[in-house]
Amino acid sequence: TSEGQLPGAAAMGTGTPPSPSGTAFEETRLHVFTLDYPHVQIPFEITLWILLASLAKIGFHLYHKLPSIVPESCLLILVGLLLGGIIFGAEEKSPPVMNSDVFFLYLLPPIVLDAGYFMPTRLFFENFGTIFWYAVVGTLWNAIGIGISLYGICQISAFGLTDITLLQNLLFGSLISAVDPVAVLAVFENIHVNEQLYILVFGESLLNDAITVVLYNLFKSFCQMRTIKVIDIFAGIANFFIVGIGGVLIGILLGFVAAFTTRFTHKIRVIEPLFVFLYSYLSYITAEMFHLSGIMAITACAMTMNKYVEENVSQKSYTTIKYFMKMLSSVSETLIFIFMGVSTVGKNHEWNWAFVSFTLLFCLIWRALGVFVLTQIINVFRTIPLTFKDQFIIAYGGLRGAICFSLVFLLPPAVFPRKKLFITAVIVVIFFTVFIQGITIRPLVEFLDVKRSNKKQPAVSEEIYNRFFDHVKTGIEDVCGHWGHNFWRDKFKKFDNKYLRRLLIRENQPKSSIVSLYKKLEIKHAIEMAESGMISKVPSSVSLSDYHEGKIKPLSPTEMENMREILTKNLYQIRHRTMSYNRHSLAADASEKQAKEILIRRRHSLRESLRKTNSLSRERPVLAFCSGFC
Amino acid sequence: WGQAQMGVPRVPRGSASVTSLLSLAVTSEQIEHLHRRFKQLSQDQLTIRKENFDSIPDLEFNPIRGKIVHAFFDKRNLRQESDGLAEEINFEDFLTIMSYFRPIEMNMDEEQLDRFRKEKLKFLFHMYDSDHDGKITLQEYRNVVEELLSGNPHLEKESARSIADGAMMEAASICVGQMGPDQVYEGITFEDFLKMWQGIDIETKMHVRFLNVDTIAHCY
Repeated sequence: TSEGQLPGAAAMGTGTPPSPSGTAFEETRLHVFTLDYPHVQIPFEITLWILLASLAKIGFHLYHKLPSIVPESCLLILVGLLLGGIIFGAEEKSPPVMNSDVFFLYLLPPIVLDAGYFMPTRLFFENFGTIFWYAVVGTLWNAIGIGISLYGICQISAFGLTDITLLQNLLFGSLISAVDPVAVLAVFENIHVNEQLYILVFGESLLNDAITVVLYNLFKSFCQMRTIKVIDIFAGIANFFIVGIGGVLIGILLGFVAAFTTRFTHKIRVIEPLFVFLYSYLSYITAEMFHLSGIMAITACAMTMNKYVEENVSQKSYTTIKYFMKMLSSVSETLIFIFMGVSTVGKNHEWNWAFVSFTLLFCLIWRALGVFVLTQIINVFRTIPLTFKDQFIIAYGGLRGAICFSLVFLLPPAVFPRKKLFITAVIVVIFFTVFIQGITIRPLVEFLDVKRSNKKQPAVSEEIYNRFFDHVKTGIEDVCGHWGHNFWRDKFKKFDNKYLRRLLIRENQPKSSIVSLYKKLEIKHAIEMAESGMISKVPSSVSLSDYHEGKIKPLSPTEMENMREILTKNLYQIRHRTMSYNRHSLAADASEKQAKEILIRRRHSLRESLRKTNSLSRERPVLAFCSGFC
Repeated sequence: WGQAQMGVPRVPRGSASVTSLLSLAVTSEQIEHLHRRFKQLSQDQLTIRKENFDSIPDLEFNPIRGKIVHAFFDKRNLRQESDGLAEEINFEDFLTIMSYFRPIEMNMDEEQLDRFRKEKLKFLFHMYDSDHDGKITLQEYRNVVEELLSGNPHLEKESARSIADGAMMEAASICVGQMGPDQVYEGITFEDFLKMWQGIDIETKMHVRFLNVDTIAHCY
């Protein structure tokens, strides 16, 4: 009662004090301190979840060996299981199951966006045929194979599964055969296989979304329809094309719009990153609105945007975009795995030895068979055939994850009386692939001596080589009168230069990829040097006046000596410090004399190009660094 | 195969390049196509000279046109013992150059693959090393980068030079590693070149698909 409330005592209030419509005696005093949980419940819980996820991540890395043995995804699921167990034990009811809407609308897009934005486009398009082949035909193969074989098992009355129809089995097959990009990313991130292999598995996991969406909706509708006509099957096939191509078109369209928008943002640099995120998210939800493939839309949007936006936005915005994207995707991924763990605990299960074990068995068998057979066919068309090792890793890397998890929760229970059985089976498969395959893939990769990605890559030389070789190939193709891949790439480049770049990029200068890569590396290097505090150490009034006058005066020998000394001293330190995490840092310890010479010349040319090309002139720290330095 | 096809010149069986070509599954169909092309370029003569390459319009736009044409006449690529440039090449030489661009076969063993890779890399090396001294010096590298970027009127020579310098530095670090303060890195030898590309399968890009042969070559 209100009389019992003393000032200073916390009141577990419902927020509003009881209305003083009663007697004066019952009037409440002023609350000095109140607690109002329901007011902030939702944001509070969300924040706590995210905080928990991040703290868990810190925890894993405290013991530094752990992430290399067990992928983070497994640890996160375990944490989720623990949490789920606690909640279940405390409240005696199933913990909040991860809402499929939350997953599909909020948690999945950041991950796909991050992956799509940083996808190596060149490699992706070189392998596009293979990726497409695996994604479409492979998923179809798996879905139908698993569905039919499970149906065969269900017919055996001893297992008590005879009430599951063929269509239900096919639906189950289609949702469980989808290779999951989140899981693939989480596991492959640590094992560093060569880029080609990575792009094959990862590209497949992205592209198979289209076919998964189509098959899932198709079989779900079929399950609910009374009769199935041939026309429905044709409608299904047409649907696939619409879903896939429609998604990609929406993505590309919005990507162009985004690029065009960023052309005009030079006055409001601060919100540039926002456009990138808004347009890509818009492409995702627009595609979802039309029941097209959202994943393909957001991937296409990111890949399109990437090329043009990078040249329009400032360096700071670019960095912001990069880091924010990575942060969002990391948080999403962590949350997804924790939720998967939490949702596992509860009363949603029905265990049936036969169904579960055969599901797992068939998943593995059909995946292996599928990869093997498909590779034999596609190797005929590939210029670099895939070896058995590659095939094994591709098959083994076919991990299932949160997408099939969410899809199974979306099944309408009215049509699927055995839904709980499906949920259990899906969970078992996911856990198996994430835990067993995730943990063992690293030793297997080492055992099989799969080609790993080269850490110490000659970045600039490789870029030069690539461009050089493109021209050689085009030349040779012209000489022998043959139109190949390069012809189309060339044509696209010409079209790009003539129309697209003029439209979408603010200060359009014909750019060479070599030069832009080089400039990027230089700026990165320069910023690192600046950050390490080198600016303050080098006062040089001579060069300052040089800069303002716009002339290059030759520096006196003593000044040169001075500079060289400082350069070499600090150059070595920087390189030493940043080598470990900077993939693009140049040579470790070049010869001193050469380093001095080359670096001075570089500073010269960087300064000159800074003056002439407007796009870099807004970079104040780099300018200050250079003017104070050169 | 010299007799059955009409117009395909009789090449002596013993010649090394032909046997190597035959042993690596360049089909007679492909050779026929190349021969047709050769005849177009040479205007029905038996040999081609540098001037004949001017008749390929698309090649005009290629920034490294000079190096490509040069490569055809480079005696080192033609597997001749001598050095320098040939004046003219016949069909056999033409095929020899084309053979550098064969795709990898599935049934090759390790040794063959290795030889294959070395051959292709050697071809590339010769393109970079224009003065035939067996080393890619800084100047030659700069030359390459300048040519590559020559299609771009806005770029200055300075940028091209700095880029080449940066690339040389990378090469130096990979090939020689730690260098003493007085050491000068003279140039990239072929061994260094191989070392640079060790982990990276760049030669896998070095092929032209002869499979889908379209005679669209009526580019006159």
